[in-house]
Amino acid sequence: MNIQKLISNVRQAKKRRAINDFHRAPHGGVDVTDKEFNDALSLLKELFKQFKASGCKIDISFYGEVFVSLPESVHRFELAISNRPNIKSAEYLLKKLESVQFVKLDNIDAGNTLVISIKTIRPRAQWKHYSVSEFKDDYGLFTETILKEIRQRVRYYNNQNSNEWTVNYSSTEDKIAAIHYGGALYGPTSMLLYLSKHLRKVIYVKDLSISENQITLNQSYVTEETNHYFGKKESAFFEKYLLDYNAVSHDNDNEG
Amino acid sequence: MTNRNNIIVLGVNELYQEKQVQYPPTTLPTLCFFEFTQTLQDAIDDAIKLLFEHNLHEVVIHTSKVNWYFNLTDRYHHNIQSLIHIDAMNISFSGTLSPFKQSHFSTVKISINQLKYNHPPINSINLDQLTTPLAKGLINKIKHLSRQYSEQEDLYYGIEPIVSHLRELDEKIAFDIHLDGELQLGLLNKKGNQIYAKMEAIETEMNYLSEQLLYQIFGVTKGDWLSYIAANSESSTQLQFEHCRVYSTTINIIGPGITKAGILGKREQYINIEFGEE
Repeated sequence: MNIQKLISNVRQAKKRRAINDFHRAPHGGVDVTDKEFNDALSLLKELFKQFKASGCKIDISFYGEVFVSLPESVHRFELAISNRPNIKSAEYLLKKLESVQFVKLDNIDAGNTLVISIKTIRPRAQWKHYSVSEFKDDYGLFTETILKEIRQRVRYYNNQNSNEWTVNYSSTEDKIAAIHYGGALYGPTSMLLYLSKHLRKVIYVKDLSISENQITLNQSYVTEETNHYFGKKESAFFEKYLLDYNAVSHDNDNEG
Repeated sequence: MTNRNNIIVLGVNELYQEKQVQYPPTTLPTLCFFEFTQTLQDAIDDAIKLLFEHNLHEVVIHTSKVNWYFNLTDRYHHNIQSLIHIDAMNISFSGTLSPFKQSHFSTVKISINQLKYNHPPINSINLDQLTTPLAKGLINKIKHLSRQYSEQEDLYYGIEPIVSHLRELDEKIAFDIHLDGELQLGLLNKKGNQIYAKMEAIETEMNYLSEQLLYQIFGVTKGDWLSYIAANSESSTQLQFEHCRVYSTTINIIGPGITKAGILGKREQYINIEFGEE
């Protein structure tokens, strides 16, 4: 496990993460401004060193998600870095904004801070956020805290399911997000915009596959599949943003 | 720097959509966070100065100090171009998510005064300041315009009865006396409209100058809380400056009154500043 290689994978995945803005379930990973990207990477590097020393295995996905597996069990957890204001509850603010023009939050540590978030890999797992500044560059303590939290969480987990898990998989949501992003990027000159408009009205997509020059859409209430053909521009686009594009198959996508 | 500033949270609305591009729901943020720093406050003050110097309605500046929160995905997106809109009383923020080209969401407008203060300070107006040369110059300009305005007004109301008389006459008389009547009426109407347009232009100019006067001499702008004790009165009038107008040799400052509890009331109040005849 070469740490430099892992970091360069995260760097390469950055451009693919543009589809996240159009994704209903965005991929975790490094979500910071361009200015802070290098800071985030050097932080990540320090953490990786510590994880490696503790015997953890680290994987980086196509979209730049960071997965760390515990040395003693099959369980993994996901790690994300983001830059967010120090605000806990958005629900509370939304409720308050129903009756007032704006909310003034006094006495908060102003400014954005780099935040490390972790969660286990389970359908409804919650993120836990740690402000980086709290640990004052003590990466050893930081990784210890993270691992302790994760071990606490996985204690009652069933071991079986985790074996089926893979680092990279392409979901229908990824493809839909790519179509929306492509539509926004190319505008009316591309068929992606029209398909994107259509997809917004669709409640449930049973299956959607993108092969060499066509998108096959299968909606639950329509028995027939619909085919949408695209050209070179879109093909180059999908190559850049989708993991298994060009695999000419009606893939057995996960439907969850 | 670990300043403890206020963080302000605003709701976000979608802006008018182009027909060609529709924005997927994942691209619309739910909340806007920004920090009300001294730098931001200075930027707002500079923009307001600019508004007055160039007689602008709104100044729009790029900013990177805003965070957009997306409740749908519990994320903060960073590739958003944000703009801050500053007018005389309010600010708001708008944003464009890449790769879109035009702003497609915006926050509500919030009053700069409310942002700055829990209870805005009340500026008192001291008429002594009207004796400075700058004030005198502005007052003279306003007076000059005011005189022009009343001249035009006299003309306008001079024409008005003639037109109505002519109309009556035209209707009463069945002869062909009106061979040129229509033409004359048309001409007079046209003249009347021209004068009216001119009056409106002078009025706008006067109001602009009076805003300048209030800003440059008393340092007050729209949205400020004012208090004033008239020469022949004992109680003071307190109001929030909303607009002003010139009537003859008086500037009227108009806005909702400030109640004893220190909040804005419902009734409109007036402050009348006379600058008297020469």
